[in-house]
Amino acid sequence: MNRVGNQTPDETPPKLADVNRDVIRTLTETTPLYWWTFGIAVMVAVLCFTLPWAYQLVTGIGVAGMNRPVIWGSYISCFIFWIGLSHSGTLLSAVLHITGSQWRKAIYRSAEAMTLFSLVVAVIFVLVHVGRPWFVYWTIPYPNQRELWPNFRSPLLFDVTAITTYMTASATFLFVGSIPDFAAARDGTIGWRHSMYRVLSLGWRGTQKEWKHLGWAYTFFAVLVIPLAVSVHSIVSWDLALSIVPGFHQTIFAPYFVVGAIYSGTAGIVTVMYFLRKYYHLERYILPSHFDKLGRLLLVLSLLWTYINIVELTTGWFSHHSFELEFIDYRLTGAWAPIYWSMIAFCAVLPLSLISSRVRTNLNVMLVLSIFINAGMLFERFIIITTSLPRKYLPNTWADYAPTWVEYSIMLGSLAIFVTLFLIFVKIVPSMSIYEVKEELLHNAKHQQENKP
Amino acid sequence: MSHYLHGIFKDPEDAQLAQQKLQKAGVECELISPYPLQEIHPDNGRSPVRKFSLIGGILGFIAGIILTTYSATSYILPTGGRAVISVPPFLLVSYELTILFAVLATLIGFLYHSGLPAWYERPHHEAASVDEIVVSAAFSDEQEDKVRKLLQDSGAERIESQTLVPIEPEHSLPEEDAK
Repeated sequence: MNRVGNQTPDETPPKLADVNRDVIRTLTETTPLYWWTFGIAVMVAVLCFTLPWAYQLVTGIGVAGMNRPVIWGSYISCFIFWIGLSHSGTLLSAVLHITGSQWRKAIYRSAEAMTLFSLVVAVIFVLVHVGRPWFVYWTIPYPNQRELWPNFRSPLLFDVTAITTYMTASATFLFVGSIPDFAAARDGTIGWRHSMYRVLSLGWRGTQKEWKHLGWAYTFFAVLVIPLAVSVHSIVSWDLALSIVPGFHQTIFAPYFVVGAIYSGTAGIVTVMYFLRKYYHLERYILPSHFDKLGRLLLVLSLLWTYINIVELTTGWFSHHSFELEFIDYRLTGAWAPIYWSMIAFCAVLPLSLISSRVRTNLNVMLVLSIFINAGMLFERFIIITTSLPRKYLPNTWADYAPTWVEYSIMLGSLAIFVTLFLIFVKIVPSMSIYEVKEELLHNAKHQQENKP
Repeated sequence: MSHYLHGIFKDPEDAQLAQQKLQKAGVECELISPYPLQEIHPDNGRSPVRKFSLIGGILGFIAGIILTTYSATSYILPTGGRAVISVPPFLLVSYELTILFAVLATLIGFLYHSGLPAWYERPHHEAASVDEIVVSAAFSDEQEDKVRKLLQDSGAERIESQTLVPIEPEHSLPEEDAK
């Protein structure tokens, strides 16, 4: 991507017609840098993800470092990480919609897209993790000649149900909210784009009847999505917590995972916003005040996350349970201790700087912080898996785990898949809600008018 | 053929007044805008979409209970000392299906009541996608002057006309063949 056009940053509020022009420009004008970034992302996805996965499929799951007792490794860590990253998009968008926050309007579309693509990547990791992905349809409940039905008492089946629902709801929320913008794009483009947006807009015209039903439906989606998002990461945590493994069997896991998910997702939004603002020249819409508010949210989430981490360790420590103590000792001083302490530094210590408004409104610092937070959150998921399973109840089975090159490569490739999907998205779907930004502009203008002496 | 006059307004309140005048004069018209006009429609009324959400949610919950209990009893697999029909996990699956069905039903309700998808030609003006409000009025030949005057008097910036050709059935036979 590259800055589109030669405009300079302009702090004057845009007019309504500018919004159409600026957003449609992001869909129609493509610079060589965009194609380079897209090409590299596709290449990395093929080389680092598809080929190693094909190698794993042909050779067997043994090419990954997972073995007894660590039968879950980097793949499940990545699955939890990507599910977590998906959380702030739809959830934050829904919460801010219900509470009527005006500042949500410039940022929520990309955040929702982030949710959808993170979910896609997370689901891919389930396929990568299982040894025989061609049997994954066995998790779908339908009458079949095998006369087998999935076991709904298993947390893994809770996961299938929750993630399928979350993916459907997030995609619906994103699509329905985009319909008026597809119509605006239809009316502002020609050729094949016009035909494509004509189909995507479903014939939307903007009559008051359509707006009324959209408003109601959208609010209902938001109301439904909030408990859903909370339930999804609670359920992911129960994949672990419903076992009796020391380090997994924690009652605090559901809120821990939900807070962690929102934390990582909010940091993800900051990263995405930074690049959209910079390379799509959306300085007049995505303001430093948006970063300031996201920074405040990150600070609160960081403190919550730190509190839950302290609770997790101290409850195990107070129990005086020898296996809990062994697991805590292994986590704090064992093979993966540097990763653990990096996680604490990235997610608990560095974000404390967000208390300063100068940090929150310095976009470059916010970008660096958001990347550190998400690196820390990936470490968190890795640490949970790889410091619990090696220290189960039978000391003769204790062992260390280390990912192989196949796993590292697939982890990198998954990031490239996410980038590829997002780059396709920003060329098809208006990355900022046209009609809601107009509402925000009208709201601000009215507010200014009322406050005039 | 259907004829429409589009009165294009800058001010939403003028457009709203024009719509009221046209409706009083018995002219069929629609108010088309690039954003919802909540300010001049303080109470848009309740949407029947909410009934779809409720019914979808209830059906989803029932579907969840039926799916979990039916599958558990069709293939009995006792695990972890739990009952074959275990209420807590089954409620959890039903909870997810409640939301799934409610979301899908809300989508169907929204599409049904909004008359979407509608890929055929309908009265529309591109200005209503940008920054202007369009009052789109259907008129017969004898009404044209009256509609035009009403729109002008209400403060329309400009007035444009649109003619739509009704969609012919694809396989309709010529009259003689039909006989």
